[in-house]
Amino acid sequence: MTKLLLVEDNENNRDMLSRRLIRQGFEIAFAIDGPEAIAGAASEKPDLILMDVALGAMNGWEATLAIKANPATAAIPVIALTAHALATDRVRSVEVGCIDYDTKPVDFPRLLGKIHAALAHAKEAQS
Amino acid sequence: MALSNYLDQLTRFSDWFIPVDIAANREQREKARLFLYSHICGPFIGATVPLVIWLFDDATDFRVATLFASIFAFWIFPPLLKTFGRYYLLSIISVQNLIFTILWSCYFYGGLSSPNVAWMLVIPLLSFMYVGSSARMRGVLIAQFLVNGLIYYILCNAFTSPTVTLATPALEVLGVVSTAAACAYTTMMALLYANALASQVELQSAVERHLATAADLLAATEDARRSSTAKSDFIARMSHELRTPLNAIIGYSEILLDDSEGDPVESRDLDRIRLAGKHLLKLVNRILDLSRIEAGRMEKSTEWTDCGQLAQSVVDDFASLAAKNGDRIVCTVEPGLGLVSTDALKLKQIIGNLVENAAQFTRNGEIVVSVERAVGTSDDAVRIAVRDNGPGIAPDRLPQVLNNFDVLDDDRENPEAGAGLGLPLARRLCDLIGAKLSIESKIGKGTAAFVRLSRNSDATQGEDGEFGIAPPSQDIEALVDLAAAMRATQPQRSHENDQAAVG
Repeated sequence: MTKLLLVEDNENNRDMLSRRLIRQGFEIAFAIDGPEAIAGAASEKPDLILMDVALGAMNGWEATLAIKANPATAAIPVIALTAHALATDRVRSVEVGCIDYDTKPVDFPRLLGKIHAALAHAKEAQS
Repeated sequence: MALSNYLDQLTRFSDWFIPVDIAANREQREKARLFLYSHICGPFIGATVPLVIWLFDDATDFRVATLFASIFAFWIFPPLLKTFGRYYLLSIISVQNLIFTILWSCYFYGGLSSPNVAWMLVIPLLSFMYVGSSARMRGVLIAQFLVNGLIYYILCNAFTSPTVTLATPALEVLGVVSTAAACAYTTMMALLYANALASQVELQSAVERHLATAADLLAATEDARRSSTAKSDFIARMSHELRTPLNAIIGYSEILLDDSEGDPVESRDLDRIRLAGKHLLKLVNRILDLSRIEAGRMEKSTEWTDCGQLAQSVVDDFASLAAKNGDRIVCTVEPGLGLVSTDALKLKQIIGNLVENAAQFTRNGEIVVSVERAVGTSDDAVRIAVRDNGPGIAPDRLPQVLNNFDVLDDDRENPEAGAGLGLPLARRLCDLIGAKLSIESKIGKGTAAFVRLSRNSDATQGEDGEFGIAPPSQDIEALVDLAAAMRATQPQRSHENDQAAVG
């Protein structure tokens, strides 16, 4: 089963997104902040990480940089979720090594498309 | 009252003699006034001295005649000032005449014990009043006094003192009259000087009052600016806070919608919650954008953008809204336009707002989005036009619609008509990315909105805040014709749309 690590500090958002993803057949692991995300990426070995960038103390960009710096987790594709569709957010996503980004509130079908595309891309890269 | 009235008349009379260039400078003018007052009024007071001498002296001769002449000579100075303007030169000559007159009246009528000695005081009083604050002229005056004093001293020693021809009682009368006249003279000058000073103080306090008002206004402006920024900050923060619960409303209604397969009523209700939530979210986002722009915090970026593709994607986004109102929406792109350097996200938002506006207000009509080369300008520019054949906007309402958060009156009952944020936001976004938004409209015919973009947006970033409202032109007529043509060629589809709108 495909496992996703959902990094999100807001409980409602975590609950909504995870329920809908579970319904789509994904297994979900959670992290509520940057350090948990870095630890979760190593321990859970998810197939993909959904990273909220506004996380308080350590933001999603920093967490992604740390995940990409660790050889054990560097290959895991990360999709950034930002509150605003700002051009600077897009640029930052690419800079820290995210494979894609989407805006919140999520348009679920669109996000689902991005998740599947990222997973297919990662599989291709592996083989 | 009467005195000030005379003074006013005297001022008017003496002002007549003041040349324009002196009148232009306040300090010069005040000095010239004192100069003129003393020269106009002085001879009347001064002439009492030779008058007394003439009355009492049996030996009327050149001495008293010279005294009369030199005193009335002061009346030449006002016309001289008016004609030649040489104020300081005239002052020095006048002072010289004053010194001569007084020394003359002392020399022949008693020397140092003359009853006219009191007039000596008038010399420095008038002289220094005339020259004012000029240090150079003060120096000249002191030199003048010393030279005159020296000459007088030499003359007194060279010749034997002339015999006084007046009898003692007559000398006493002369003493009284002369001293009284000198006192009257100094009193007059002191009063006039005090008057000038008072008007100066009045002026000063008026200036201070105006300065205080200016400072108050400045402070008020600063306060308003600060409170406006604070308001924008507050709205930006609040809007962000509003988004979180709204996201939950939309998200959970979507989850429930996923679950509620089968029950049409429940699905419909949930969909209404979801749509209302989305609508509210859109409004909140627009308020957030507007307040960000107003607080100067809206970011912008530029990238090479295919405007045709962008317009087409906007048209796709609003296809369902247009269909719901029975509108047909098409996108035409002039071939070979190439790319434009602009903020694609903002441009999409602008076009989206214009199309949404058109789609909301047009019923069973046409909306045409066209991307074309801008004509009639020297620089390389692209124009994106959104035309509809909806109800149109009255010319006097156009500025309001672009500036204020205002809905058209007749659509207030329509909850889906939006809060009128679309056009003001589009306008501010255009300002932000250096595009030019203009709107043409005709009641009953339709509306055409144009966004003009320079191919390289950096070139137009200077001209912010520019937008235009043009009178209705052939564009609207052309659209109406186009709409008619489209209806004629596709009667079937129009009919279907009409049905959909009715149902």
